[in-house]
Amino acid sequence: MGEKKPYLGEFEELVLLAILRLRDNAYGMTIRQTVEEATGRSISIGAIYTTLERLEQKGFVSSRQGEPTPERGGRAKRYFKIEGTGMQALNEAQRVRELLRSGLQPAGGAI
Amino acid sequence: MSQITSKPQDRRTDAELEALLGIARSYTIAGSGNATAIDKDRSPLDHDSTLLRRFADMRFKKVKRRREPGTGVTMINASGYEFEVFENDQPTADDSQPPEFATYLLWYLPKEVREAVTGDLEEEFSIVYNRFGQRKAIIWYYYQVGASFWPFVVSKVQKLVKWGVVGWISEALRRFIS
Repeated sequence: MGEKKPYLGEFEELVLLAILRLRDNAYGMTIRQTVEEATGRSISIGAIYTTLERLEQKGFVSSRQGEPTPERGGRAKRYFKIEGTGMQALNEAQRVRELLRSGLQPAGGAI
Repeated sequence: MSQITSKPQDRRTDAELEALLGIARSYTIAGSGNATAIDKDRSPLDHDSTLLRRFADMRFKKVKRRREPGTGVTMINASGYEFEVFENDQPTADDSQPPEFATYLLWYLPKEVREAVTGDLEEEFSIVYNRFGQRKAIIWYYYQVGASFWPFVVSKVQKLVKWGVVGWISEALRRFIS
């Protein structure tokens, strides 16, 4: 049996893509806003953080404490960045999607 | 100071004009501000005639007032026209703070994320506050606090169930072996 490949859920993928897009400014609020704008869905900050915690446990992302700012009531930001395994997981998820899509006849328009 | 920011609609009667001008005047009297009606494109000197001309094209139906936090500006919306009334009294610092009780509830979040979640919500609260006003910001904040708990509760329950199942299987195996 081959090596078990990391599995990425749909929401995890969205969060990872948002972190990738935000580069050095990826923290809870900006990630939430980016995912919300892209999907048009209302997303709670709790949903973002539970997903980030899970991704961190899987080793896909790492976090560091940022600087406390007055508009946050003196609380520090927690910045996230994608690790190598996270990039691999994203690429793998994209590869699987493309594999499953290839050769499909569009039913109600182009896929 | 008031200014028209939207486009005129239908023609208005004199009574409607008076009523509309009265809004700005009464606001000045009732509040502690020094509101004066002017058109943003005109100098303050000809503001009265400009306003009257603009008001003559309006249909006056209903009036809504909305205070813009942190700016000392109150928006008066009448039949699609918006007036900005600048006041002398600045909002207190507490106006732009999230409700204490809701923030207190966040203390029950897991400690690893507590500071980051609270900070993020407080930062976004000020954005919502400046955009939509205090009332909507408070509702938004309570909703976010409530909604933020669920994912953590579900995650905790999933972990408990997982370890409960593992414990049950190991206990069954131990009994089977012995």
